[in-house]
Amino acid sequence: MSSTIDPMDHSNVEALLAAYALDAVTDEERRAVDDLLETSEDLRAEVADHLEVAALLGTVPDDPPAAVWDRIADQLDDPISEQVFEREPSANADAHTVQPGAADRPSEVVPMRRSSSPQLGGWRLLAVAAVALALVAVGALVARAVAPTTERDLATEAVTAAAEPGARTWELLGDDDRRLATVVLRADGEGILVADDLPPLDAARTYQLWALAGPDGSVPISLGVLGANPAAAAFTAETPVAGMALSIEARGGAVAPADGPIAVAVAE
Amino acid sequence: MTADPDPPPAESTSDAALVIAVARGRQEALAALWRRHGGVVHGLARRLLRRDDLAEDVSQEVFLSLWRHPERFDPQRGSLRTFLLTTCHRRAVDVIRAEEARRNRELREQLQAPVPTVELEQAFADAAVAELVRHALGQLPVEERRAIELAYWGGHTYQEVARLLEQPEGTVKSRIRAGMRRLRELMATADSEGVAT
Repeated sequence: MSSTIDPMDHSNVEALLAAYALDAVTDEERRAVDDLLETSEDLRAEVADHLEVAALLGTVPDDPPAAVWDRIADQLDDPISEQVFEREPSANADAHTVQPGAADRPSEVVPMRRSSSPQLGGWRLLAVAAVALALVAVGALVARAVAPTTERDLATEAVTAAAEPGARTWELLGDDDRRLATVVLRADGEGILVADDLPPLDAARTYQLWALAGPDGSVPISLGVLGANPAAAAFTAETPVAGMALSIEARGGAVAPADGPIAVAVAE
Repeated sequence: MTADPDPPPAESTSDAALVIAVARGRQEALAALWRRHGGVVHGLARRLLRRDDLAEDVSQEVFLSLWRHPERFDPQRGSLRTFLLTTCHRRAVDVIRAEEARRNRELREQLQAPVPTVELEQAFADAAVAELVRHALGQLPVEERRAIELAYWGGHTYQEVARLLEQPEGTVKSRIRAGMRRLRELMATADSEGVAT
């Protein structure tokens, strides 16, 4: 027997929130809760709290057989239209704008090593010229200091932005191919850097993000000073960008990079 | 210009950055997430389904779903681990409910058997978070604890839990909600007091 629920009876539906988080409701009740959640941020927050507790209940460490991953890997190239679930976790599933076509993967990501890539020659050769060009370019490519906000907000925004039409992503790799940071640039020039593995600097130094502009992407233009221990940062670029670079500068930043970048990524 | 081969993600790469990479087709990012979260996903599936083959199927589906629909993960609504475990639990409950005959048999067994407190505690024995959970569950009023355990671990609806416990549905619904709120408070308190550390 399953009780019939009146979706208009909000108090009755609201009483189901914890059971909903435990998957202890009928499909009809789930739909009623889903509808109610659309109307209230407070109720969504309560469900998020219950889901967090449920996840802790469900934390049962295990060592899955290697064959499970092998089976997953075997299917990663299958057509995207092949659906796995008929039902999805709606409480954490309906707010994103990343398109399923994101999996079509027209990748513009070109991770590059710092020390051996030919583009670095261009960087170094034009480093002196960049001092002058950076000053001239201020009117053409307006960089502003990164806007401080929470890492979580920006990480969320970066996930969404990465799959938007026209968005580009660069992965900034260190010497040992560790990914130091991921940079997402929207088509409108708004961008986000998410630090993956940036070691904290002493207080006298700062990370600085650079756009690589110019016809061959060899002119570094500052996009912002990130501080000594950045987690995530937003920036704006107002001219075509060929790539991204990251450097370490004296506190306060530099008009042009004083030394070589610690990471460079250039899109083809 | 030739792109370098994609390197493996650093172990310290954030979940959010890995999901971005997954959305762009980076298989090694999914592999990194499997290494990071595959164990708990599989552990939950095994605990719920009690069959290795079904648990492996569900674990596989959880990660293939993330691969094919990374947009379903919303970091603002919780961590990736919470999302994966939520997905795993829901899928496992679907499997449980689809096997009607087996479920009915288990219901009868549970009517005759005590709530699996010992088994639950043993399953959690080795992890700090499990200690936190055990500590908190132990402080819940028994009625709330039994309702939550039957719902979460048994895959039962609250109506089924009400029948199992011979309580009114409204009472069970209220106990689950009150118990979940109390669990959260207890775990927060225990965590701040270092119970699990």
